[in-house]
Amino acid sequence: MIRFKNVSFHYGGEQGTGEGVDNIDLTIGTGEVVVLCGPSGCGKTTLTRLINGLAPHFYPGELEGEVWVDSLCVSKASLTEISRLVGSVFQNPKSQFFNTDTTGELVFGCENFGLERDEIKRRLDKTVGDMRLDALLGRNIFELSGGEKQQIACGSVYTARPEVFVLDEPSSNLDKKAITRLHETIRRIKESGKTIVISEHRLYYLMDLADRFVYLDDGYIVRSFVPDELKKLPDTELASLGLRCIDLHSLMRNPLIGEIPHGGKPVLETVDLSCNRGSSQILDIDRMSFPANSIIAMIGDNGCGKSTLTESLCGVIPSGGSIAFDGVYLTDKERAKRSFLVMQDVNRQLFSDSVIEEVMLNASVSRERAEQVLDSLGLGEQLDRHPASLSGGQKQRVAIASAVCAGKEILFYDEPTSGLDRGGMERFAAILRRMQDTVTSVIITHDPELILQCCTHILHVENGRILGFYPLNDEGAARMRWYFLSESEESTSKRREKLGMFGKVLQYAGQWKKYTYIAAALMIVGALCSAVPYLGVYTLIDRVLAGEPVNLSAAMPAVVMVLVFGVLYAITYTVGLQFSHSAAYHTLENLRISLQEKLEKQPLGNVQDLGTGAVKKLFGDDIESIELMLAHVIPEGVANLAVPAVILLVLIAVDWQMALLTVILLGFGFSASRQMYTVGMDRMGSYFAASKRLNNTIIEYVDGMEVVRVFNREGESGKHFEESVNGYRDFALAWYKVCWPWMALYGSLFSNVVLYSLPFGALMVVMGYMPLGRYVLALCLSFAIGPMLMRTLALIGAIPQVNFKIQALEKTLDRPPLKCGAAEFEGTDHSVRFKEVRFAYKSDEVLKGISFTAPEGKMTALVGESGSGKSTIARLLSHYYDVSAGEITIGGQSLRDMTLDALNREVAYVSQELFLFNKSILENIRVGNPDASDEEVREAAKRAQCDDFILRLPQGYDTPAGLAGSRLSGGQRQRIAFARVLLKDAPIIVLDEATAFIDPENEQKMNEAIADIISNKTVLVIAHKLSSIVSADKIIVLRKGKIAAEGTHEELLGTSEDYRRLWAASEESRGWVLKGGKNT
Amino acid sequence: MARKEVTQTTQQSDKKLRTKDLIYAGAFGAVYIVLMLIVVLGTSAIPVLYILAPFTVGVVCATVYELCVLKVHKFGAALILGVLFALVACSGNVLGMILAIACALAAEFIIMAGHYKSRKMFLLSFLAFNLNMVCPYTMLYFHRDEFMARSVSFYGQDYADQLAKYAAGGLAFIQIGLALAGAAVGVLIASGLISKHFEKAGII
Amino acid sequence: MDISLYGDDSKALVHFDPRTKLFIFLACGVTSMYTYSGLYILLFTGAVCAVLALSGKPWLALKAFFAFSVALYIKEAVDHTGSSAPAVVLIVSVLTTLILYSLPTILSIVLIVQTTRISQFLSALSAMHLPVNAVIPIAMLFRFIPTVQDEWNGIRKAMAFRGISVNFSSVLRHPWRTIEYVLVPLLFSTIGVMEELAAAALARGMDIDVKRSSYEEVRLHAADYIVMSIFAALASAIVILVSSKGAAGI
Repeated sequence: MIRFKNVSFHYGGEQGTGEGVDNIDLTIGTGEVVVLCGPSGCGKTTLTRLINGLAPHFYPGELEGEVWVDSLCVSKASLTEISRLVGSVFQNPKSQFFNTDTTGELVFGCENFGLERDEIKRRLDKTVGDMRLDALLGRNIFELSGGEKQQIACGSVYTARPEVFVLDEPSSNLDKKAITRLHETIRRIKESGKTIVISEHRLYYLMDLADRFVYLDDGYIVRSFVPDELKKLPDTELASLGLRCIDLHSLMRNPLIGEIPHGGKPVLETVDLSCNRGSSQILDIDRMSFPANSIIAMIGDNGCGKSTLTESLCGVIPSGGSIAFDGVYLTDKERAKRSFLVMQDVNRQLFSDSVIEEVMLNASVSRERAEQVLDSLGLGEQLDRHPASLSGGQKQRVAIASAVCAGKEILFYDEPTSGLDRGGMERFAAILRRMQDTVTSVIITHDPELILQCCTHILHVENGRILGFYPLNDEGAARMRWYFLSESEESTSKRREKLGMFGKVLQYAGQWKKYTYIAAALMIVGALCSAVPYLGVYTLIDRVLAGEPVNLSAAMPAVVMVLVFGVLYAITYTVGLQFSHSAAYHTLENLRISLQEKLEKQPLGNVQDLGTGAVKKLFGDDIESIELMLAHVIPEGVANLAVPAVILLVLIAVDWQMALLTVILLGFGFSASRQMYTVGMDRMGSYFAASKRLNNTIIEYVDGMEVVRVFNREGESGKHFEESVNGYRDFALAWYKVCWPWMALYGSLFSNVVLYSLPFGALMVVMGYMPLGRYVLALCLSFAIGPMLMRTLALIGAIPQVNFKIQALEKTLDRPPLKCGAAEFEGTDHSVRFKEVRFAYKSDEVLKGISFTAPEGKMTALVGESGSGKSTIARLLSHYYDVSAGEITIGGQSLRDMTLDALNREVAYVSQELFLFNKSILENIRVGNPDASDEEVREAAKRAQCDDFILRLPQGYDTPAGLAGSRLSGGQRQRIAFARVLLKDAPIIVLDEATAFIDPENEQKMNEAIADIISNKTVLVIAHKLSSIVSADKIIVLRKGKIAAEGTHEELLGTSEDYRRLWAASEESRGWVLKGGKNT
Repeated sequence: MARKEVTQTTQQSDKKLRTKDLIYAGAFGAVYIVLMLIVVLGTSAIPVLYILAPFTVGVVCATVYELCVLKVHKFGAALILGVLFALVACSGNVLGMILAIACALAAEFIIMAGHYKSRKMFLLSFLAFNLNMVCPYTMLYFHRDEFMARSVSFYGQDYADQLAKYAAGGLAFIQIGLALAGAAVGVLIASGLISKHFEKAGII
Repeated sequence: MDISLYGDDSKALVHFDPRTKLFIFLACGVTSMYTYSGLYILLFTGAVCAVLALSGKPWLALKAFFAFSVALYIKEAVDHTGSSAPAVVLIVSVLTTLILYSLPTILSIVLIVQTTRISQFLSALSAMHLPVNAVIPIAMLFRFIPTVQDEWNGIRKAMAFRGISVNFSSVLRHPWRTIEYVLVPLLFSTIGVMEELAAAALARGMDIDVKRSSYEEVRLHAADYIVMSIFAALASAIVILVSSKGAAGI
């Protein structure tokens, strides 16, 4: 129970501003949830500070009146006492946690109270259970997303079990998912009977939780609302109160936005943008372009790569690919000069001691112009104030002003309105609209109100890829609205892994890691053995130099040593190679299997989008190239590096001066090679992208050759091909050109160590510092070093490439898997129901809220113009893709609940194309039901009316389809498809333009076959030829992604304009007769 | 805006270090140490600059030190900074640690002499504090003596004499001088920055 | 420089108390004052590496031990061949000496930082009855270093937009301005975080006058005592041996 008795408080002290609240009389009952709202600066935060005691105990100031929480007078008690009753969650997730690990932070409050360890553990377990924080325990707080940090903050307060919870703008830095979680958390706290006081701008998520809204203005409590009263207020009144919207459904586009720019030269374009951080690839964007003079909103969940994308575009973090401003490709530094990012934490961007200085810093702009810009942003009064003394919104505007004065073309904003009230947000939107002519703006935001106030386009980013880029017209607004309103799944950020160079590959090695290590060890031993013979030779030479005769008996030990060690070397090296290859191929196997499993879980649609070429390259070429590294680089590379090291050490013992010289030379060589890698790594992204594109072009060229030739487009197609190849050549050459000088340098240094050590050593011998024998030994040893290093370096170049490739592989398949459940089919019947289904593909929204039922055992037909969404519906039923919103159920069970197997058993999908496997026709038909016997297969073929033509084939049913496939006509192949369907006998059949190939001779047969298939099944037919579906039980007319009409043929002729038009067109085409031909 | 001129404050103003002060001191310590490490490691590429570290660190870190002592405004701020510095920079070097803490104490006494009111005293105290940059090198001086002994046994007396010219004592004095000079420059910068920025913004 | 301050001892075979690790650290400090060559220091370093390996970082321990042995080997080899260029010998000798004497200490620091969780470390410190005036600043030090890194990264990016650069040439040409551009935003943002943090900590009941309990359990086990006595024995043996043999070193 909280009571304010005529409380006034004004901030004082050294940094006081004299602002505060006056004459507050407020009572909050136990278990009540009160939301404090009002424009910026109204005193909401001060009230919360009065409750948790920070005012006056931390923020000094003058306090009149008393604040009571239960029986404790907050104004007089100490913060320690207050903290037992009142728990606080603050606005900025970054700066409110004390520990660096989550578990420690969760128990922080309890530790402060001095509770016993067991008690703390009990409370911690309860918190983790209630708030479902299992995935977040024991993690590094710095790695968590903003929403997760806020969850931990709430959890920390929850563990301390206070009676009152005070939350100060908890949602300001959160995205949609996190706000849902926050909402859940608040609900749970409310259920346990605690009192909650929330000071907030964003009201919409609290509408169902709050008991009361207290409205403050200028330090006074003005009004108080119950939620129903607030809901009834019209938007204009909310605006005058300075409150943000209370219902996202009612958000409307701002009519002041004006025309949406499109076409013309894009202000920003990127090709093959990729960005790697740590051990994974974050961005993977093929193409993107921003039209000029647009205001683009970048939306997407936290952690999907928006900030990374922004920073790559600005050039402040390294990335692969090409980015062009105004059609000119620029390097990172040049982009940073022409763009600007207004960060969330504007403190980091303010460098000077007065606003006017700040704006003129490093910008060649006159003082008058600077003052003009500041004036237009509403900062005319603050010219001489220190930027750090301004409010958050004002600081932001100073940053914008500095960008404008510096003449930047593109401005990026990172969540600019997170703490602003309505007025602030609208003013910001107005600024952007005013600047639209000269500046293109890109805003990362979670604020739907801001988007609708000023943005012209939306860029939806997910998981490092562009999910869609569309203009914000009315349709776009609808689409954006349901994104913000739709449910979000639970997911937590992953632990950041830091794997070394070999780490990624060894990850896939699994139990075969041991083999690699054994191989490496064996090779080291082998390499050492290969170096020992030199010692033997040395002893011989020494004797010669000493003038002693060399006879067989004296030489024998040396010879034997050479022989023995030579053999040892051969043995160990070979065995080691065996182990390493074994390990390598097993690792490749693991890699392939893991990728295949990922591929399997993908929606079919995604797999098709990737393209056969890309997938083939993935599984074939890319993985093959890793083999080289596994089998050779790791074991051999280790050995080839270890041996020169050992030899160097021995050399040091022999004569350290020569060793020093060698080390210096090798050092130069290494630095040269390192230089080459750093330089080469930059280009790697573009190089791989070019090679990928080349691959796709080649496949397209070959696949389409038939069409190209028929339509005489060879010139064009050939030119396209040539361009691709040339582009690739240019990229590759550019890359190599950069690397060549370094390769030459270190190549010469490594292989010619002797070039330098020979004269130097000779000098030392002549000057008497070194005996000749030792000199010779040193030379011999030097010979051993060079070639080994060269071999290693040739192989080492492969390592970063391989890592990059593996990351790219993982990224390609790192798309959300198909949402399947684990249940078998449990529906009550076989009726199909679509509920408010929306589906967007790339930038188009294909289905915009489809709801219909296809009853069991009846035929439902879908008709409509091309592109109205008919085929999409059919594909969605087969779970080709996941729907963007809504639900599809069969007999009441959602598609997402059953396994893909179960679904495929219930639904048979017949499309226009038939894929024949490289087996006999019998086997091909048996695909419909692998357990069927031969008789059943033939029976099905008979019923599908294909028996006759199959028997006419050279080997009848056993004809290999490869041969037969080419000889069959469209209608015949279609009938084989029917045979499969008949064999499968699934209760739901989807016919996607199955009658497209009807040839007049077989029309009757086909119709018989179809009639056989669809008897007693639930059928969904898509047809252009309306005559074939006249008898359908229900016909659904689609137009532009929505259902225009529903009913039987007769009903529709009467009621639906669209249907009448379609029918008329269809009838007309039936009446067409070839001139001089006969009617069928 | 509900604004009022506030004359009195309900604030504790005692001399003891409170939790808030400990947090501030620790945080400033982190900034000081990170900056120091960046300066030292950044310039260690060029050996000459490495020896000059007391100078360069003094120039850069003076502002951080001043802000810390001015914000906390009590006995113990400099001491905490000094202890944190000693732990990080002179680890393993007991003599160095003791010397560094002694420098911090000296700085504290200088501040006390100004009764916590004289801005000049606050600024001057850094001159004493920065002497702790010399402390990590004490081990080198220690070892140098032992090293001398070994050199004698190996290379003969006259060689040792030559080496003795670059005697340990000399280098130590040079470094002390550098530390003082760097501190002086840093303090100038600090006072400039404080009045130009931090006071103007109202942080101090 | 990415120090992973979040030490993780989940892979450790034996969990050592942070106080044991501090003891090792002290022992290293003492030993390095007294000797920097010879069999004994090798043995000592070996012991440190063994503890490191047992605490969950076997590869690091192996690499460190290997590096140490190589450095020792080089030093011995160079010393014994003797040669014509005493200046060079001196330099090499000094360098290797530096490595040899600092490696055990660095290893013990790595042992503390990378295998201890910060909350464990702090409970150990308070269990050692260190005054709270020392524990909290140390905690803050650990807490703030990643924050400062973060802020610094952000500031660097902000500078890139403004055309301000911080490298040798800018330091040489206008040193005052460069320092200003670096220090001012850094300090402003850090002070901001500091104040919010202090408010949050105080509002959640942190008070140096109230005794805090600790969720982390920090207790000395048998293994800790064994290790501590081993190191104490080694250290004292080295000290005694060296002082009896005089300043010529072993």
